[in-house]
Amino acid sequence: MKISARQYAESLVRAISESSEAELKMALDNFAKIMLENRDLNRWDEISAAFSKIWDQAQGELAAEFTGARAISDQTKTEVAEYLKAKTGAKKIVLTAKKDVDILGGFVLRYEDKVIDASLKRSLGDLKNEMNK
Amino acid sequence: MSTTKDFIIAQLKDRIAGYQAEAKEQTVGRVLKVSDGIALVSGLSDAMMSEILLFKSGGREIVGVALNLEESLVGAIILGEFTAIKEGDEVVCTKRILEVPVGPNLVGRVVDPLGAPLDGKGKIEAAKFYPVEKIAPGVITRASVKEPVQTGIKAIDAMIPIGRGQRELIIGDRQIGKTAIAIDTIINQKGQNMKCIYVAIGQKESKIANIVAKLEEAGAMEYTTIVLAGASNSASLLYIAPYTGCAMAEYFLDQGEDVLIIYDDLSKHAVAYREISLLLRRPPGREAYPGDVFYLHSRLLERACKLNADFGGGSITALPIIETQAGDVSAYIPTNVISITDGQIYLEPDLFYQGQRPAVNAGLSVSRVGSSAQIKAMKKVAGKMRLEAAQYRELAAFAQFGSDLDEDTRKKLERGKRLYEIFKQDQYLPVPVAKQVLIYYSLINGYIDDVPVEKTHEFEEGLMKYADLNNQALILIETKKELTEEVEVEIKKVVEDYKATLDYLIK
Repeated sequence: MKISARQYAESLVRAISESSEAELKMALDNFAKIMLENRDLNRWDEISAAFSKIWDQAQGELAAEFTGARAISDQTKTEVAEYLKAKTGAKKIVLTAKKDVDILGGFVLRYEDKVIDASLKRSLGDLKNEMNK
Repeated sequence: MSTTKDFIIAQLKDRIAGYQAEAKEQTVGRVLKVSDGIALVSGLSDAMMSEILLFKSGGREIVGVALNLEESLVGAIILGEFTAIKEGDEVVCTKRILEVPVGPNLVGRVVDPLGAPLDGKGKIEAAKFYPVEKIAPGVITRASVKEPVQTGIKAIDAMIPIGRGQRELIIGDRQIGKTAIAIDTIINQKGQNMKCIYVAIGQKESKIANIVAKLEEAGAMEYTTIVLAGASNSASLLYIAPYTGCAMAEYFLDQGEDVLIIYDDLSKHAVAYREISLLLRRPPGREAYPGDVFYLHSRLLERACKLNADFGGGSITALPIIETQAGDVSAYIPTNVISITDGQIYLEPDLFYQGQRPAVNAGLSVSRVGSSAQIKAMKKVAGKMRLEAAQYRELAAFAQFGSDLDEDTRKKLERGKRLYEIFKQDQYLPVPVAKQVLIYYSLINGYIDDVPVEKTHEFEEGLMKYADLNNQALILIETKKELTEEVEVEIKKVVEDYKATLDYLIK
């Protein structure tokens, strides 16, 4: 049976969680051996992507991207991080802030496959659609 | 003028003030791959099965439907211009299952499988939106089939009667009159309290234009909707077209009305589904169709039903059409659909080229539930007709070898010849049931035995005209729906009176 990238990543996370340094080394060795035995080394990219996702999840880490029309203050950043923590239950938010004048005003917040689009650009677009109805 | 201007500005202000610009959380994904009307999308972790997805490409929104939900991917069919979609485009979940507009305003219109008008008669105000896929009504809600659908085609109404709520397959080779039967049936529904929906799947648009013109000419568009997925549309649109038609029919069903729906044709539908399935990399089975091709048609045709009075008493009668290749009814799709339906009308090329049109094969055609839906008068005159017609064909083939036949056989052959003459019928000329009873009554009671075979058609036409002028008998059949003595006396009188005016009878 073919082992999916997700299954690999999940078992790796389980094997190395709460293990000492020696155990960790052994677990990684064994993991590499299994991948070699199954001839799955060429799927490393896929597996590592799945691993980092699951690792983040296990650690309660959440990557988010915050886009504003102007430079973003530190206060806004902490407020957004607090909001995301409360909303998703994540323990740590890795927030990347971006400035994009194209959105005119407001903000766009992205995390996982979710988007909260509170930009002026979208509002104007929606208003245009509404008026055209 | 200024009051108008102020008024407009005030209105505009109100509308803008009333408009709430809210930021909703949306689930988005990215197109990984797009090909032939199929897209693979990453993300969309909470997409639902057959949910509408919006592809935001080049400033436009193109509708798609999620069909494959995988661990990190969603396979979607694109309903629309898929050439505009590029790799990396954003895709948004809508949290809505694929649905189409339904309601009385669709009657008389030609629409595409998403319910958008194609006839240039303007926007359609929908009464409601119905999901395209719906589970068929259960046992508790159903009743047995007991009212007839009058097709107006003599051979079918007599031999293979169809009831309201039945599913009767029309099967045969190409160019042999399958659609003609369907269209005649629609034309004959005038004044029969029936809504009609014609679903064209992969048909030539010129053919559909012809059909629309014919239906309009016959006044049949007043109660007909046409759902068109033409030959130039993508497989995705062909795939959803019959379900769309069925959703539109279900609206009328829920109003307690009777609906006739024609799927023309389901072989092209299966081919479209095969294309989609192969592109979505589902494993192919027999004839490269996917494993669920049976379910594809069974879930569609199961939605045809007759509901009992507690549930409104409406019905959906389905006439699916299947095109066979060189008369091969044992191919995969024909056998599937034959086993799903309550009977089939088999059209035979040999009969067709002999001039026997409609080319209904009496031996292979059956109706499993329709006979209980025939009116009593028809049942009495046409009860054994299918058997007789089938026997005549065998007898005629056999009789070619021997010259001396006994009296009984000869009589049977003569009657059979005339029966087949009566079965012949021109296109777009459906015959009302009362007239059918009249002509069959004349046949089984020997009134046509002394009419030369080649004059049978002329005799029939004359008799119908004569009966129209002295319409006592027709009215009686129509109202009583039974062959009481009173009715029989009236019929005999008409036929005998008419025969007295003829000069070509065999002495």
